[in-house]
Amino acid sequence: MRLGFWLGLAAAVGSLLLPLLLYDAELTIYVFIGLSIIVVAGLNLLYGFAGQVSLGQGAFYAIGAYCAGILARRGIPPLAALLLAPVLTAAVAVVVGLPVLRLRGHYLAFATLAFQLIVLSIAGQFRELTGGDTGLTGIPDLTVAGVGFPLERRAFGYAYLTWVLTALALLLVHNLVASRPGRGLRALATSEAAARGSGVPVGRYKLQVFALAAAFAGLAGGVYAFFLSYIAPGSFPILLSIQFLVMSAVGGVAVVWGPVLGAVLIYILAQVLQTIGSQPGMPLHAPAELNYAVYGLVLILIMLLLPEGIVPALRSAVASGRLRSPGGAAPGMAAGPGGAPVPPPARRQ
Amino acid sequence: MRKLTLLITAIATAACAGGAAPQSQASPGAPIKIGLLTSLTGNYAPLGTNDKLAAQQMVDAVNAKGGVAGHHIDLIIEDDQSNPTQTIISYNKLIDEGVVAIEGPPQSTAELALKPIVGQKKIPDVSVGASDDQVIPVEPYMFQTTPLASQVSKACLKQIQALKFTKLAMLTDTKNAYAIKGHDVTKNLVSQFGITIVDDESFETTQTNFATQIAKIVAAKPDILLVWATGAPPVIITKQWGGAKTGIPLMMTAAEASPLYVNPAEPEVEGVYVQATLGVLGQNVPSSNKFKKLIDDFAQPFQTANGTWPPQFAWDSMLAMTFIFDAIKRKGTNPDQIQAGLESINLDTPQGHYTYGKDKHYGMPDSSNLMATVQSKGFVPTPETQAVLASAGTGASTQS
Repeated sequence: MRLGFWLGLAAAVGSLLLPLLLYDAELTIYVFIGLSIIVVAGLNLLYGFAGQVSLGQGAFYAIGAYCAGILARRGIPPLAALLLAPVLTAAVAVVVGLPVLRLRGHYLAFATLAFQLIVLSIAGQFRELTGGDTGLTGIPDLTVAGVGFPLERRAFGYAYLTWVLTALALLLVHNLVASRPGRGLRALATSEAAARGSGVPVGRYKLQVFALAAAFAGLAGGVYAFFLSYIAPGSFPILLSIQFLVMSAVGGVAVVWGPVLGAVLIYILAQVLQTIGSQPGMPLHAPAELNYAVYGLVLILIMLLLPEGIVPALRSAVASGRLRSPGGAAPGMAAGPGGAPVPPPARRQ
Repeated sequence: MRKLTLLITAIATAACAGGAAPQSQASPGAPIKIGLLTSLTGNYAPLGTNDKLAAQQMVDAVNAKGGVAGHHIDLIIEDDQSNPTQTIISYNKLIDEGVVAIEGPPQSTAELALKPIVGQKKIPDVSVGASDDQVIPVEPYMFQTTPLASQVSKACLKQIQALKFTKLAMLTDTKNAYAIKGHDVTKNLVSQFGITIVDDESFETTQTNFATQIAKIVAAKPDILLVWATGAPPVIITKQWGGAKTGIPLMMTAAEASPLYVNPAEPEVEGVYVQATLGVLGQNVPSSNKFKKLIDDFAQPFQTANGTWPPQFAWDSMLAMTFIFDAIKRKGTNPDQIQAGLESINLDTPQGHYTYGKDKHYGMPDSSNLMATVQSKGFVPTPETQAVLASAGTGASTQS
């Protein structure tokens, strides 16, 4: 068995057992980390494997949350609302993707960023439907046939729901990138012209992966809406989309486990700095310095020292013999499913 | 397979075994943990920093005198980063720390996000945000020290009426629950005061240039502009409004009753009307006013420590701690007892006389919602307010 398999299994079992040891606040962070992993796993498909930059995943996260929240408030069974959230989000992504995916590189990034601004503006204006800028309150709890999580173990229940959905998302990504469409996505990331010449349906694949990434974000957004019972445009700032991209870059793009490590590290770093900054006796400027300056400095150091991200760096270390693993990829190359080397995503100008 | 079954059984058992920890009375002399959930970073940091300074002063003062009912108070502070998601995380951190009551958060939008969770956790939360929706309808464990947006609105409209103005323009931050509520209430109330809204503009919290809105407002020729906003935008609006030399008076609400608004907005801020509460105008309160001593008891140490008279958010925070301490003294130290104590608040404070009840979790008297203008970087009561301040402080909690 490869080292990667055992590490993955250890991570899965460890994260499965972890909620048993956590208090409510830590379970809340656990849930948000899981939801971030789901979004970033989708972004990883789009950006890491297919080479399409998006600064608008927060918009799809918001759309999923609003779909689930609005539907559930209007009498649709919460589970059905949750399942519809990724479907409706993907449908929106198809409509948006048709024109937007004609753009590339920075242009695509700006277009997706603008899309999020539009979504937030719409959510803020349609007060009857969305609650407007003050938000949508009274979203019912997630129930199946009228049975929900016990009130006192609510965070615990959502932690395991998130674990299951995260595992499914990662499994789907793992299988997809190993499949023929997955190879096609990697091909179009390197060169759309070459991929088209090799018979890859470039336009269709780009649209499909855009919709799939949106569906991931929509699913995570649906869980978010039920978990918090409240959503507002302020819950989905532009910075959230950038944070998703940072998680992807820090963990490592074009590797299945990159989103996991990226989301865990970024979320925990932010929480640790927040906790230090708000300790009694700390000066009033400490929280701002820690949350902005130190956070930024740590990110800069990570990107300077590990420009391909942490998971590819670890794999390079394994392959170069500092750690021993017979199935590792060559230095500088991320390992794909089955240990097959994957080139880094194309850098577009 | 057997291991998997054991694992699933363990998880299921843990899921069922948990439950809310039973509430226990703190043993005599044992410290009590009180949470402060506030915005130390993000858009609402100017509010949160004053909350922190005031809460810390109150806790230090009470601990120096032996604590509350013999219990030393541990203040646990969490930053909500001006963000609803982080508000929930930080709130749960405080609950896990074992706090028996919480003050905050200061932004009403986050408070609305918190409202259903406060009902689940059953730990009393004394809010320093200011949207009516926080406490109407009543959530048994949520209370509010600030005036309702509707009270602020009435105070502003009374002043506009006293100035014999009839044409009003409004500029509202649509990302702020307090501002939206205030805007909506004002729209409903203007006719009672013989006022017409001639222009109604909006913006978002992150906006930094208001030239478009200002041009439209000036074109509508109002007698006065009322701004519903919190945080940085009012400073920029004031600077740009002054720079436009419109000659039209500007009015701000209680959220701007702070040097954090006045100082950066100088010199354009001179002459601006600001809605302010009794404590904020404390320097102008005559010694014959029965609340004067209470005002000075808090304000003077605050001014000594921080070099400024307490702004609105410091008073809000001071009241939250006052009420929590009072509830502990009268009823006990566990969350249910503190909740019962808060529901029976009947107290003279620097902000007037407060009463809470089972159906009323807010209590600032209308007579404490006053008006001032900015003069020489300070707040000077308007003539109408001076008459109220001279009335020996008979204000009772009259808002219904």
